[in-house]
Amino acid sequence: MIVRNKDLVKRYGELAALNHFDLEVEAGEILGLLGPNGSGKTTCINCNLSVLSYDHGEIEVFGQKMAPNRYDLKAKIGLVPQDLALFQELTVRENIDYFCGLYITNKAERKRAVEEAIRFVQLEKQAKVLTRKLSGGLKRRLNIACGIAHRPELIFLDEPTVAVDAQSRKFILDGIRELNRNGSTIIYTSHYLEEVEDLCTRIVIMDEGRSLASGSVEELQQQVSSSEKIHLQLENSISGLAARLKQIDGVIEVEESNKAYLIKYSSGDNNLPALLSFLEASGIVYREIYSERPSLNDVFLELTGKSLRE
Amino acid sequence: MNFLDLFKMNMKVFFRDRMAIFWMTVFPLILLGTFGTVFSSLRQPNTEPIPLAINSKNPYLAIYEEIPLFEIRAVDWDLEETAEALNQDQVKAFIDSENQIFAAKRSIQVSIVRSAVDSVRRGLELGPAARNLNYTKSLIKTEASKTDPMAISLLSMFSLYVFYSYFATASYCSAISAEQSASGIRHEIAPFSRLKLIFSGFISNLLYSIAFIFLLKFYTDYILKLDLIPEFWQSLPVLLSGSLCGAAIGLLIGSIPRLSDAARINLGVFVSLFLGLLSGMMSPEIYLFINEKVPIVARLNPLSRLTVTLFHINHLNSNSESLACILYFLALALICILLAGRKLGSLDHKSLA
Repeated sequence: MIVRNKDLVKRYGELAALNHFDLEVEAGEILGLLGPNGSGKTTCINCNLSVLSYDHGEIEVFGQKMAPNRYDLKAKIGLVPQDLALFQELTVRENIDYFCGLYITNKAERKRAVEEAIRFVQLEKQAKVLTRKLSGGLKRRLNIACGIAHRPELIFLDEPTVAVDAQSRKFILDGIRELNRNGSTIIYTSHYLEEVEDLCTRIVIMDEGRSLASGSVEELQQQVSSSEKIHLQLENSISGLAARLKQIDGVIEVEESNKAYLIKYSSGDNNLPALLSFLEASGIVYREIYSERPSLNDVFLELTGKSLRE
Repeated sequence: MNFLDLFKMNMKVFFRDRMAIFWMTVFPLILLGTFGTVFSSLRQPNTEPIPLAINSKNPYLAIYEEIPLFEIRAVDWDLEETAEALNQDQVKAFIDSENQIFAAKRSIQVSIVRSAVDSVRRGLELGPAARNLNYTKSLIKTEASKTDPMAISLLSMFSLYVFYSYFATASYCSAISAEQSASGIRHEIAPFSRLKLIFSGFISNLLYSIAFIFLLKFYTDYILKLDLIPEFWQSLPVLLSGSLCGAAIGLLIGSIPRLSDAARINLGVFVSLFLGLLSGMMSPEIYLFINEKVPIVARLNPLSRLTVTLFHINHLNSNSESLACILYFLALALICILLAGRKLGSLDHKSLA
């Protein structure tokens, strides 16, 4: 196990940023820490990195107790912080070289690592450009390069795609997959559902400093009481349709809004054909119909009673 | 990464930061130039003759009587009468028959008398060639400027810039401290000697500050033609210790967590201007008033200490204040470094930026 947090508590006065938080991360995983703003994701990362003290609990990294003076463990860890951690007055190459130099003292080895990092984030053309002249997306790439240039075994990425355009976001996510394929364990925090669903092999849902649920996307989806949702948009409103739809086998809830219906099923993931047969038999003309599996937001809503998106 | 790599990085960051270069280098030169120009036009050397008593048996009495800077009284006083006259300020100095100078206290006038005695002695050593030397002209040119009270104001401004190492060091601390920046978190999670980091930043900024002192000297001498610090090499140990003190204070202020860069800069600007005001930067009378009414403030104010010491070295030809000033700055620097080091060296934080 690469990372183990047991019963972690971190308080800021009365506020418990981490409230008996547990976490286990296996080698080779891409673990997603998902939660709304203020749920404790960044606090968790900073405690694991030993820059932030905690009030109670245990933190082990690479099977050993983590502490501020454990330089041997720190040498194998990389961080891509949420805020840009760059020197605006240095060029791309100089920034990567500087931060890599805090880990790799051998000049030849460091030079190779720097060039590799520049290629990895595809900033070859901007290698000699001052950081302050880069766009936001390119700065984010540089931020990543500075955190991974020394080839760490464990990488923490704290919301690396905040305020980033779609193209750069895709690039970043592809890069993270490649890092994982190259052997790094990734701990990735975000409040973007789609990213986490798409990228992570396992997800931990957090709220108010606690771990609420953990598992793969499929495992988490099974925790939701409704297995499938079908959206139905009619041409004309039909009185009493909601009650009739509720009579259909497996339907647990029907929400009606003007000519739109949201039909929730308790089980199964292929209820659409049966519903289409019902509509045809009833002579009901529809404009649009589609099926949807429960999202992580549904999981979060089920667990906490509130939406992940604020 | 060794110290040289860190030093090169620090210098790149500093010299490529246009705002830092402007505020820390260009703006001080502009301000000094403006004040120097304004004060130069206001400068009115004190031309009142200096009352001077000379023993009537002094063989060079006639030469001294030719110098219009002095109001000469040829006297035959004994020790008691001499002491009484000096203490009552009837004369500023007394020269005996062997050209020994007696004075009740150090002052610019005494310094001028001393220069006159030296000039006469040197002139006489030249023998017949000395006949063409014009003592008056030489003395007025080199000594008259020493009577100028505006020298205090300009020296105070010069002293202010000696402490400018504060700003660069304070900014550096925020870049390497996790409590103050994301870059600081990166530094603290890296397996790199904290001491090396802090030391390299401190020394880099201190070296720049020292280079700036030399630039100021060149600027005042050759561009502004002020000759503000004629005894530069004698003043250098004091200037260096002042620069070290400024950098150390910057280290201490920079180590305060969650103090924004803007707050640090504003604190430095306002405090240094206030201390400069108390040291006579705007008006020498303010310094004299403070020194008279609340002398402890003048003794504790680093800018006052430096200004007065530079004045003593360069205008009174006296090193009496130098050692005390250097020791004061070194002690203050040591305290600041110890307090800051304790904070900056700690990697365990209760909260972060």
